[in-house]
Amino acid sequence: METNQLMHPWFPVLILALPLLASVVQLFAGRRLPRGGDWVSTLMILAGFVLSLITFADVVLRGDPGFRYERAFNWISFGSVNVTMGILVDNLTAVMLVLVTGISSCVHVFSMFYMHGDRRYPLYFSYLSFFCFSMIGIVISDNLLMTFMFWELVGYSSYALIGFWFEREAAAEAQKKAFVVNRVGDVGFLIGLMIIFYVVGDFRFGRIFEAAANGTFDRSIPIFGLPLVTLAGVGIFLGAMGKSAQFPFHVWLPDAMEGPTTASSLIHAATMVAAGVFLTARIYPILTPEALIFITYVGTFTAFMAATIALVQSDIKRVLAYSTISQLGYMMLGLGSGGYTAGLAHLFTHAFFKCLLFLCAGSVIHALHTQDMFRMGGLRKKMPVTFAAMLMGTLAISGVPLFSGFFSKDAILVQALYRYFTEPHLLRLLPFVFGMGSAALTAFYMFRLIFLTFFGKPRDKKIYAHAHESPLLATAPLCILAVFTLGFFWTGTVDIPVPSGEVKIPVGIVKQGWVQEMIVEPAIAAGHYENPSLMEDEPAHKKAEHLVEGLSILSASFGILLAWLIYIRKAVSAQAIRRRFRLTVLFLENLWYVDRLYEIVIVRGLHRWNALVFQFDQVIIDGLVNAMGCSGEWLSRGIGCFDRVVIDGAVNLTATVSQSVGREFSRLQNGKIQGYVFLGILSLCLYILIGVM
Amino acid sequence: MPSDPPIKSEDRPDRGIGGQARSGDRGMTGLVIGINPLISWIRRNIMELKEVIFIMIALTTVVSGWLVVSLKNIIHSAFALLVTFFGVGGLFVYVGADFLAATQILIYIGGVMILVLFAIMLSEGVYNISLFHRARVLPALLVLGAVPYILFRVIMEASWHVRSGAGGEEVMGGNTTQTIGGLLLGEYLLPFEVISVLLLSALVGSVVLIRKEVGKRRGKAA
Amino acid sequence: MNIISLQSYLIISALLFSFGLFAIISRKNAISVLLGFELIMNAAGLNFAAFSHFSDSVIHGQVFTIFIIALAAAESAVILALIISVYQKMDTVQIDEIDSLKG
Repeated sequence: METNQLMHPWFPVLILALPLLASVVQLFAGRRLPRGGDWVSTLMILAGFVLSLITFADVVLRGDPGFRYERAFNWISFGSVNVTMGILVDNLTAVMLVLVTGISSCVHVFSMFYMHGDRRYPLYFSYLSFFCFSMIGIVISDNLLMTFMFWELVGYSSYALIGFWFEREAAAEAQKKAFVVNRVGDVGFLIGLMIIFYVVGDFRFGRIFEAAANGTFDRSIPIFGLPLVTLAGVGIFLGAMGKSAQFPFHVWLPDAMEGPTTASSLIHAATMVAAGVFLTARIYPILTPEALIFITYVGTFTAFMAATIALVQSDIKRVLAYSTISQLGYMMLGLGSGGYTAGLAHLFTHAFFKCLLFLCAGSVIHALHTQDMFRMGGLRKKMPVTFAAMLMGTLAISGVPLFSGFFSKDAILVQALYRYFTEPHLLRLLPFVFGMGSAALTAFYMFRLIFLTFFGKPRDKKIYAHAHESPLLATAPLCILAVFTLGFFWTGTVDIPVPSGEVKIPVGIVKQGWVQEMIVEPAIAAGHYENPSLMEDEPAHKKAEHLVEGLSILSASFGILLAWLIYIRKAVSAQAIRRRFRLTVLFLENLWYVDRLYEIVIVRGLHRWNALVFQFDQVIIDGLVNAMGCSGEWLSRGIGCFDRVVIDGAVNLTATVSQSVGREFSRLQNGKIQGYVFLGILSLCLYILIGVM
Repeated sequence: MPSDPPIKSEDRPDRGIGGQARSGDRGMTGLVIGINPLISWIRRNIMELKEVIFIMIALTTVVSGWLVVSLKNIIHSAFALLVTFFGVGGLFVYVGADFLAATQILIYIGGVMILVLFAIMLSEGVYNISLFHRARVLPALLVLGAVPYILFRVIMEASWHVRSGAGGEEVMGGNTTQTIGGLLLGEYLLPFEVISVLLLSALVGSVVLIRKEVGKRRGKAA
Repeated sequence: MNIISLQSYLIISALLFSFGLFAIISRKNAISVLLGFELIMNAAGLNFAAFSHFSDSVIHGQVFTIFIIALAAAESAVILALIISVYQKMDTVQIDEIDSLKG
């Protein structure tokens, strides 16, 4: 096969179009279709999945890490500037397509069970399909502008789905919060976009990377001491922070749990939040070391913060939400440390097991009609399939060997440690340390969740009595997703850790190490910004690998053990710990006071500002208008007065004067003839006398 | 010859009209003695009698003219007018207009004055009319100071082209009647005819004016 | 200078004219006004006669005087008729009181 040519070039566009079609059909005709038209959406997305698989097989199994298929067409041109729209298919795209469509299919099927009987059932599927369309758009986009457009569409889909039950005020507030916080991040995206366009003159990734390689960015003038390329990278990363719920833009994700659990599983676990990571990976070649450091620390802090908050949550969905934030932070940590492959690998694995976890939670919630873990318990007997699937997902997220999470998390931590070894600096140590800590915390709170929900005695007997396993429609997707939580799908080998290293037993199902080899950053900017992942220092790397492997197993075990001790054995009292660390618990329960801070400073501040502006409008503007009106009135009164007094007065005066004069003069005509004669003679004499003189 | 204004007997109680002495001849002697120096003064200063008489006629005319205006009683002022007419007639003589003098006396005194007297008598309340409007006297007098003043200035300062020999021996010369007659029917025929028409219309008009009212009055009375 | 001169005649007629004017203006009785009017006519006639004598055309002025006399007579007839009719209407000969044309 030719290089950089697809076997089926139309598939990506088709994959993009099918969900859109489904969405439109659902929107207008959904109600009239049998079953509300859910099969339309599901079929479309399944078709998309099939096409994605074919594309995946074509692209990834080709074995060319540098494969790039680009097709573009001119969209707008103004002056000498051409803006194009097009598609880019490379290994990353192929994997993402399979991931998005596959997980979407599972969610669609599960939704048919979960959302059954909902008032707006067809609309839900319309939104879901529209989301798929938008996400696929981001994935196959070949330029930043198109990405941004679909970025916004994804944001809208999230808004629509979070507020699906908008009659609940909490849901309405949450959807607004999500969109607004997203938007704030998008400001950064736009700035980055503008900088890039200003320097490069084009939006396409290929061109941008070429420009970076040519040093076009280096010729531009730094602002605030930072080169423009750093600012562009940071700007676009800000957009990613908004989408991927990194600190300080994380506040919307927990509140987004107001939406349907299935929507959360797709959007807020697997795909949309992954879009931020995906974008960061896409622009990887133009990220300078300064930008990467920024990304790393944002990720580290987020991962740690979210993990700590998840410790004290009692709502099952909230735990999962904070867990998502934490894992996303992990991904950013990985990318920032130079682990392009590692971060993306974690994205892939996380998508599957997080979706699985959410769907299982949905199953539990549907059975028990509650989200409070402290009312659950002992469900393992009543919902065995759900339990098994959830357990697998939990094992994956905790980084237990043989599961996908172990492989991807370790990759990230290895990268972080490796960076420290190559640059022994506190700056490089902290991400690793906190990453490790977060891993331990993750294991703990996830198993806490499992133990609280499925083990022990049921805390609320009434709802326990009603609980039952979900039907096949629900459990089938769970099982499918659970399969993908197994590690060998990603590595192609079954990795058994032994003290001397891992023993990798190849499994014939997937190509060995396909992620490691196929998902690499584009070669084009390699070396220009000294992306360290390409600087291979084998011994240090090996050393890091060993260290991380050991430490991660230790930390995971520690976390699980602690959870077991507290919640199963009750050897350590949770209440006692709570009391002991009262302040810390308070801090954590109040979500590190971030939301509160936003509420006080931004929300109330805005309200005050609005009130001020309103006052200004009322008093000054309206006052001005009223004053003008009044002054107009006074003016007209004055003019009226003037008119009456002066003008009319003048007219009247004229009349009066002429009347008086007339009266006086008419007195002359007194009817006395002699008077007239006298006057005549007088005048004559006067004329003569005056004439003579 | 017009008579001098009669010397009222009240002025000189010891003299009658004409200056004759009433009681005794002492008055007569006084008169003769008094008049003689007067005559000699006149004789010295004014050469001829006709001039003296001219002055007397002129004075009569002017004085009676003033009397016309100033007398309270309208009958008295009508009679003063009569005297004025006589005076003017006499003055006509001195310019050699004998026919004119006769015409003047005939028409004015014989016609107009009779008419006026009749009118006076026909309008009642003649006797108790105050003379002038008090407010109007002063301005009237002012004006009537101005008019003569202007006229006198004109008369005195203008250079009149006077025919030589006027005012001398030819005071009474020629047969004016014939000449006037000839002119009337000759050169001035048109004005003559017009005057005739005028007189006719005046006649008719005045009768018309009177007749209506009289008719009405008669109607009212009846 | 000669007493019997044009100036003397003119002075006399001027005086008579002034008196007549005075009478017209200031006398209350309508008939007094007529008398003044007659004085004026006489003055005019005297003027004509004097001029006729003292100018080259000796007779012509006298013809005018004839006309004036005739005119004066006609006019006085009419005026008297008017006065009498006014008197019959308004019951007064005082000009001051005949002011219905007042305005």
